[in-house]
Amino acid sequence: MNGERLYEIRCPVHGFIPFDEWERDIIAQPAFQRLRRIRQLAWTDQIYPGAMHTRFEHSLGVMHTATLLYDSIVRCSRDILGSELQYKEDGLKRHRVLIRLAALLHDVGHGPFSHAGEELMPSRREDSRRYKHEDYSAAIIRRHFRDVIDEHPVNTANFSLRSEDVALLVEGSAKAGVALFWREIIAGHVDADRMDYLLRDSHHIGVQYGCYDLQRLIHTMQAVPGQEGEGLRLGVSEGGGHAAEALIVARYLMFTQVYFHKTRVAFDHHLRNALKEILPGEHFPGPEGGSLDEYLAWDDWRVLGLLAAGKGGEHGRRLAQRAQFREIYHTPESPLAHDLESLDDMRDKLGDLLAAEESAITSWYNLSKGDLPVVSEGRRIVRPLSHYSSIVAKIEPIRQVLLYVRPEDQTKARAIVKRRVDKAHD
Amino acid sequence: MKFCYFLQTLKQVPLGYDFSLYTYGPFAAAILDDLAYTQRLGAVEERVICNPNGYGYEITAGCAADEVKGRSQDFLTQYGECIDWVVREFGGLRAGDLELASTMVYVDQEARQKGEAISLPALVERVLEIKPRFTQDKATELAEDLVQKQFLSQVTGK
Repeated sequence: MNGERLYEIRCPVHGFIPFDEWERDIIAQPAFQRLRRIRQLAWTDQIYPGAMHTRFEHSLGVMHTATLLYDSIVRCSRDILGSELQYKEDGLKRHRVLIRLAALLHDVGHGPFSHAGEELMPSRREDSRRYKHEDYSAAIIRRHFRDVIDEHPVNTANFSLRSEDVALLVEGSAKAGVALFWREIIAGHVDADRMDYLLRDSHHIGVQYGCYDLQRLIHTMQAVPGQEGEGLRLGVSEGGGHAAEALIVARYLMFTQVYFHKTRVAFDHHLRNALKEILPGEHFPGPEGGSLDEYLAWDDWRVLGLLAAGKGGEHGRRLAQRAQFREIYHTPESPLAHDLESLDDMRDKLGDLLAAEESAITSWYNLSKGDLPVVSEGRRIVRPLSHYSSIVAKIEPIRQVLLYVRPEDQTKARAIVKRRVDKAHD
Repeated sequence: MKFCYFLQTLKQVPLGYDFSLYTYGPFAAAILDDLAYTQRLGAVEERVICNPNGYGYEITAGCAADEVKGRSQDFLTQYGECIDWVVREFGGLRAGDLELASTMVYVDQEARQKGEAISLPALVERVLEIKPRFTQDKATELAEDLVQKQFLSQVTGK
């Protein structure tokens, strides 16, 4: 660690997470403590009652995992990091601290109930793209963590890091310079964020779907040279191929069984629409200027209080009374043309009974198809993980579509669906 | 990946991808997801090509290519010229040079979003911090070419 005194906090996933006095002071900031009031998995506790954990402990877990990854990659790839990115010992030590802070603070920009409200972030003026929670995280780091980072005696004596450096890395700016290489540790295909939340969510929910060999995977991660002048990227040694495969399978299972569970998706739908009723202008305040402090005033507690007071319209009422929409029809996980035609027909048959439609494509948790470079012994041959693993080669992002009706219309809708399905089988 | 980036950024083709910057250039995971889906539909076939230095991907038309293209005819009619342009303009570049060029365009776009002007030497310096493997001369030559083609809107000259 960086300062002299070490603290530690218990974690059900990692055992103990150590941090120093500087990090303790960062964790003590109100903008970080706010994460105790933001549930990691929104309303998933309505299906899995144990899902009560928050972004607070997840952020500590990501910091811990990112550090283990960093140390392992530096140990395995010191020569490449020196030759490709001109790293020397001091630079590596400094960027270790930078990555810890970026990992710790990467989620401070989350809104109430995490990803459930992300569609209600406003659009940027310059290109109409919707803001993401990372944009808020970077803005919050610049405004609310500037003093505790820039002026902290541990920092000024040892590292001279700036809050701006942390923000640039979190938002993936080109100004992050050579540190951008480490962004893959925090926001990549096999990154510390995923590594932590898969295990953490599994633990709290009480399932085994998200389990994989974290230690083995971390131990085998390394920097992989590109070919023909391509940039350095993260990969895994051949010995870690199965651990990486297990993480990808874990993502698939957790997505289908938890993150895109039909009831969870219904609650997300109601929450989004309830927030639209509650929020002025139907969106959260932006991350600029005075709006940022207004945004930070939003957390789960505030939303729950408003819902308890009867706000949020029909959707707020459905949340409060557990009268959520019911899934009535779904496509296969990867629908083909005839499946989409059947979907169109079902929409048509359900007519006004159709209350909502949700697609896995828009889910933040959906697994991506990206491959991982695998390095053979002696770093002589690099091949994609899908070359070794037929499972990884075959796993695809989910594109399932779910159709929902109001619970009061469920009987009638089921009859329509049954008629349609029976006819298709005739 | 880089072709999609250029199409969306330089020709405003509404692909809807959200690119982030890594040391290997602008990246959008959704492109790989869509590629996997088009493979499932039979519109393309993807093959890993292994060589002593690493690997790459070969993407060719699949057995259902014409059928899938037929369903996207409106889009192809409207943006076909842009697709031809990107292949013509960037198809001859090696992978590493594509990464370098796309990173330069990303840096320029980032400056544009922030309302900043950036000199050519400053752009080159910023890119070389991310990709130190390239020489100053190589990066400057490529940047000047991109400026001359008006692909870097915020660069204010030397």
